[in-house]
Formats: sequence, C-alpha cells, structure tokens
Amino acid sequence: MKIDSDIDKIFKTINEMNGKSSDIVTRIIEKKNYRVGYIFLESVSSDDKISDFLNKALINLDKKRVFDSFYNQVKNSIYNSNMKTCETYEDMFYYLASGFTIIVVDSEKKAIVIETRASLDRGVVESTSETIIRGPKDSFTENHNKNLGLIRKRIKDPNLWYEDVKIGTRTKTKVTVAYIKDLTPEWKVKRILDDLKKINIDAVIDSGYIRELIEKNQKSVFPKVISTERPDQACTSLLNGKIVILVENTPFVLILPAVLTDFIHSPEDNYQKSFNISFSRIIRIICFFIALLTPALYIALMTYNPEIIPDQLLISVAIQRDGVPFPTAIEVLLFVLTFEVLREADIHSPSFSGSAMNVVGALILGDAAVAAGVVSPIVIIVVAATSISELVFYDVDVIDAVREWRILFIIAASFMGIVGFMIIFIIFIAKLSSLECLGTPYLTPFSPLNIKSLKDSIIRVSRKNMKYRPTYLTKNIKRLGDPNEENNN
Amino acid sequence: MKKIIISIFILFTLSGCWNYKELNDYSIVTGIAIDKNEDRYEVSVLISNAPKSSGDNNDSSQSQIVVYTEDGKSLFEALKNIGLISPKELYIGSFSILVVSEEIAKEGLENVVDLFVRYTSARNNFYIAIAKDTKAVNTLKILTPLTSFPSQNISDNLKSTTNLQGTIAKTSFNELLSILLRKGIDPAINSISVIGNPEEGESKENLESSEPKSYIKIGYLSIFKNDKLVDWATHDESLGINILNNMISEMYLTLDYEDGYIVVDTTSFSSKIETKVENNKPKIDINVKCEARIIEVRGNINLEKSNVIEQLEKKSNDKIKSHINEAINLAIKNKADVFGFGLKFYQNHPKYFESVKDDWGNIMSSIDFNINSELILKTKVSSKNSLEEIHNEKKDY
Repeated sequence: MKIDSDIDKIFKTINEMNGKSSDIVTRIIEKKNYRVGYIFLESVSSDDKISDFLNKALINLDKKRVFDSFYNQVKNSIYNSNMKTCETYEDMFYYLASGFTIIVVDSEKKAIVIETRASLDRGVVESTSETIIRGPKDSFTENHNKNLGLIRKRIKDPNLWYEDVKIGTRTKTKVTVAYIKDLTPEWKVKRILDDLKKINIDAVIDSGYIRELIEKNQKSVFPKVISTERPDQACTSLLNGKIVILVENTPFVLILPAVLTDFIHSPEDNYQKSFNISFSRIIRIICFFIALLTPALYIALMTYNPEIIPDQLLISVAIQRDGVPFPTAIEVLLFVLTFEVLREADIHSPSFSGSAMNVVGALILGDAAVAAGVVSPIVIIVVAATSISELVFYDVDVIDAVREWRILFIIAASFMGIVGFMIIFIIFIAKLSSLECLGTPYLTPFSPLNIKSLKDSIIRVSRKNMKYRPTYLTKNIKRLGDPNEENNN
Repeated sequence: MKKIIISIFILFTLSGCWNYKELNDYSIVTGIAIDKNEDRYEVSVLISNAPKSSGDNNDSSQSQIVVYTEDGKSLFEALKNIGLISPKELYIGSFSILVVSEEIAKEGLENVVDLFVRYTSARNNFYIAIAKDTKAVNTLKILTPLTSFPSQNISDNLKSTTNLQGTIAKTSFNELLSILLRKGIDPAINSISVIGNPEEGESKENLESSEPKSYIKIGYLSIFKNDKLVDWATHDESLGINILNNMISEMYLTLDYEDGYIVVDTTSFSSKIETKVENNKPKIDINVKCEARIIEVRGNINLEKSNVIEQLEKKSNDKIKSHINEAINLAIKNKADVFGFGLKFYQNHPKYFESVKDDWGNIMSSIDFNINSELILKTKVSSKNSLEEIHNEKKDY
C-alpha cells in the first residue's frame, strides 16, 4: 500500500495498522512555514540518537530556498549517515520494527528513513558452546551487523560477497549468504539462494529453521550442515570454498556443504601443532566407534558369542553378572537411557543444581545400582566408556546422531547377536554413503577417495605441506605460493 | 520406507534370538580331565564361575571352583551326565587345559581327539597334558594361591616356562591334531603330576599356608607312537627332544670341571636338521648353534688360563650332543618319531619316504646321524675367576 501524502493520515494509518501499540511515538514539528512529522518505535529505537540528530536538524531547519522541494531540503539537512527512502506502508513498518525512524512531510508520497537503532544485544563475548584452549575466543552474537563484521574484519578481500534474502512473512528475518566469489562455485551459491528464496514460512527465529528447510535429504540424523557460533570457523570454511549462511538474531551460523570429517575436526585443529592434532583426531575417530558400537558389541559377544572372549575375562564377567535379574540387553539399554536422561537434565538445569545431580548420577545410579544387584559393574564401565567417548565431539548434532544409531545397534545385537550387529553396520555405512550436501558426498574424502584432501582428514599435515584447498569444494585450489615457482618468474 | 522398517523389525523378532544365552546361565568350564575306570570313561570338569559362598561382596571378582565328575560308556555321555549335577548349562567354549590320564594315553588319544574335533562349541587352542602317577582329575583340584583357579595355574605354567626351561614344550590341541594327521611325526606331550597328597591340595588350607602342602608340577615329556603313549622321557631326553624340535631359547648346562663345576646358560639357541639320502640310505645332519654365558663357577678354576674357555665350549658341545643322542636313542627304542624326521624326509625326498613309510619305525635306527654343535661362550663375565680362586690368590700375599 502506497503511503499517503498527508502527515496526519500517515500517522493514523500506522497507528491503526499496529492496533495503537503503546511503543509507537509520533511527533509533528510545526513552524510558521513548514510541517515535519516523524515516527518511531521507542522499544527498538534509541531516544538519544533521535533527540540529538533528528530533532536538532528538523527544528533548526530553515525553509528558504524556494526552488528546492521541501522534501529534499529535509533530506539534506539530516546528519545521520544511514538514510533510506520508502514508499509503502509495509516497508515502513519493517523499518520501524528494525529501529529506524521515519520522517514524513506533507505532499510527498515518499518517506525518509534514518537509522536510530537501539542496541538490544549483548556484546561480543566468549563462545560458550564451543570452547577451545587456544585460538580466537570471540563468538557471533544476535546482532546481524556485528556478525557480518566479525567475518569481514577477518577476510579483507573484495571477493567476500554478502547476499541478503528476507525470509518469514511475519518476522521478515534477514538471511545473508556469505561466500568468497572466486573460491566458491557459482552454481552452489545460486542453488542456495534459490532454495532460500523458495522458503515460504511465517517465522524464522533461529538458523535451525533455515537448516531444516534447506537440508535436502531429511531422512538422516547426521548433520549435513555445520552450525557454529565461532567466526574463526566460519572464516576457515569460507576460505576453503564453503558457503556461510548468517541469520538475523541468532549467534549460530550455518556452513555448508559439510562432510563427516568436518565434525571430527574442531576449529582449534588449525591453531595447534599438526602432530598433536593428528593424534587427537585419531582419538576422536576411535571414540566415534566406541560411542557407536561398544554397548552393542558387548551384548552380541556376551549373549551370543562368548567364545571370542578370553576365559579369564569371561569368568570375571560371569561372576559379576551373577544375580542380576535382567537380560544383558535390558541392562545395557536401561543404563544407556539413564545416562541420556542425566545428560538431558544436565543441559537444561541451572548451574546451582549441578552438584546435586552429580551425587545422584555418580553415587546413586552407579554405586548403589551395583550394590543392589540391578546391574553388573561391567555394564556401568561399558556405558561410561560409551558416554564419555561421545562427548569428545563438539557438535551436538553428531552426539545426537551417534546416540540414535547406538540404540539401533543395541536392538539389532540383542535380537540377532553379531549377525544383527553386522547387518546394522552395513546399513549404517550404506546410509552414510548415500548422503550428500550440495553435490558433495558425505564420506568425502574417503569415499569417493580424494587423496589430496586426505592431508586434512584423519591426520593433518603441517601447514607447509597443505598447499591446496580441498578439491571437492573448489576448483581454485592453490592456497600457498610455491617459493620455487616465484624464483623462476 | 515404513514397509522396510516394519519388515526389518519382523526379521529381528522372527529370528527368535537364535543362540541367545545369558552368561550367568552358564557354568564356565576352564579345565577338563579324563580318566578311565575299567571300561567306563570318567570325565571331570572344572567350573570356575561359582560365586563365593559367603555373603561378603568385597571380593566379588574372586570365585570358588567346583569340580564335577561323572562316568559314562562314551566320553560324550560322561560329559552330558555332568549336566545332571550342574544347575546351569555347561559352557565348554573356552576351557584352557585338557588333562588325560596315563591309562587313556596308553590306549590311545584317538577317542579324545575325535570328540573335541567334532564338538564344535569347544575352541581348539587349549593345552593338553598327561597326568603322571596320579588320576587326571586330581590335577584340577589342587588349589594354588597364585592363580584364581587350577586350570589357569597349569596353562599359565605351561605357557611361561616353555622355551625357558628346556624340558617343557606346550602342546595345544591344534598342534596335536596336525601332528596326528601327518605321517612321519609323532607327538611328545608334557606330563604333569601332583606333588604331595592331592586331598590336602583340595582344601582351602592349601591356599592359606605359605608353603602349600600339595602342588602341581610340570614334568618331562611323554613319548607317543601315533596316538599311544609309549614311554616317559627323562630330563636329559626331554632336553634333547626340545633341542631337536627347536623349542628352546634358554637352557642351562652343568659341566663338571676338575674338582668343581661350571654352569653355562644359553642366551640364544637354534637347531637345524638337514636330511639327505645317499645310496638309498637316509642321512641326517643336525646343526646346533647357540650362545651362552657362564652363570655359576664352583671350585678352583681360573678362567683366564689359556684353553679353559675352549675346553668349556667343547664340554658344552659334548653335553648337548649327548642329550641329542639320548633323545634319538629313546625315539629309536620306541620307534616313535617325535622329531618329525620322517616328515622332513617326506618334504625333501618324497619318493624315498614313500618307499619306506610303512617301516619307518625300524628304518629310523639305520639313519646315519651327524651331529654338530657350535656353542660360543661369551666370556664377558664380571670375574674371570671363581671367588674361591681369588681367595686362594690372596692367601699367597
């Protein structure tokens, strides 16, 4: 709806549109030869900025030049740097809600929009969900501009491009696609933008909304998009030729395409010695399999194929199990679920109740359960090893995915022993191989094998030897100049 | 997709938990002993996962052992009869030691081997020992403070002392099987015996006293002809057999020297057997190579004197040769080829062996043996002389 050319009418329309909400502030400045009105929402705008810049400018305005239109005169006498114009009521309300102030004059079907946003977010603080020992500590915030800035200040390259899409019929959330022009294949950016534009949803509160809507293959518990609040990781990904999606009002940005190895890596991996990191990564991979398979393997071996186990261990386990009323499978499931309950409770409980939960978890569930003969000690060891192993991953989606597959493994192993275990394992591998994100298979660089990219997968070679970007992400792979080549030139 | 999920779950449940068994429904057998009483077999099993009888939970990893014995016309019948006594199903999957009585060994191991080849739930890597001068079941009953249960005691002992003692060679069921199935080689199996009164060894007091009244000792080798026990080897003969079978890495030799003695301990040991056929006559070259050090010197011996080391080396070599000769003589006497000479001829001279294989036991005596031993004494010892010699020198001042 086009705006009217009468100040009173405009104010009236806006008030009606918004049900005369209490935070709408309107003012009309009337001097002997002109009339200027402005409107803003006091809940999202900064009063100081409006009084300091706008009021002063409008009150001291002198209508002298006859040939210039009054609209232009107002426009040129305002001190604010960020100024726009708008012509419809819909736009107008979007700006109002974003913290802009709208200036209207009579007999002009345009309005001047100036930025007077109040700071409604916390500052840049340390990341809480992805803590690291060494490396940049800042994290994204809820402020979209700050987020863009945190990336821009790290990559001062004109090729770093931002493209905006507005999503959400009600929330009108700004979603920015960031990429480095000469590293990221164009079709990937185009596809992402197309997908984003196709989204028809009334609200986007967090990047999780976008992520669910753009993940093509929904039937997978494994994440295919990295979600991080670390600007350094976003920048590393950008420089590898990935695409970053920033969503307004959330500190979590999306990075895609992601492959399984990305979740085994931690942002910190780039800042420490390559040898130490290679060791950590091998540990993480071992942990991945421990977390996934141990309980199922324990059940399969103990209840179907005990002859694999050395006799002394077998006897020790058999004695421990003596008097336990439940079948092994139930025993393991019971404890796996108990741990999941503990974890769930831990995430959502405020810090002051943590110690009470420790006591319940460690003493009552572990010690007392064994003493009461409800579980055997070895099951507690198995579940504890499993649970600790899954926590080495910093990405919560991987932890959840591993948890769900683990339960599948347990069920299969308890019905069919090692055979069922193998069946699910084959299904697991087949499932992982079938996933892909933006044309990148999920198990790259192992399957399909990409030898050059193996340098930064299970192990990480020293930075001197990492001359090329991963070839599955970008065609422009040269990362490090070759000193010999320069000499030749 | 739904159909697939449903069918997978149906698959799981239809399998009916095939082969499913909880561990605490088993009685885990860790040792089996086989005796013979007139014409009935007596099979004893050692069950090691009986929970401690008293109610104290402090020691839950420790177990009490139970030995059940039943008899039957066949081995399997006797074994199955134990099920009548045991409240839980017997689990034969991972037992570590099979003790066979002398009587059965003399009749032939064929029956016993046959059972365990066919009985698929048993693993094939358990050790075999022959009970000497005692009933086989007694060896399973002796409690020992150092290991949790007797079978572990025997198998650990066999494992740890093979290669180190010279007289001991562990024989696993797999090895026995492959020896029995091949021509030209006969088994030699370690014997075990109970020292002291076996009945005292069964009681808990044996565990609590610092000097056990009764214990199990690994004995020397027993010589088999095909699957039948024919003779017991002595210490020297056992050594000779193990030298020829290359089962030794460390052994000691006690050499008489003038009025005292010297003990040398080998640090590396290898033997090589080469077979030849000359003019249709079998010939075997045996080469032993080893390094040794002097480990004990007694008497008035000055090692610095010229020729002493050479003399000692010669004495050692003679001793090794005599051990080998004794072992060969024992084998020839019993017509039992525990060294696998026949197998070597079969591998290197198959035509010749084919012509004599039926009479191999007798042909063995006509083999021309040529034994060489090359022992090198590493004289790097802390003192060239015995303490006695040094003492005497001091007196001269």
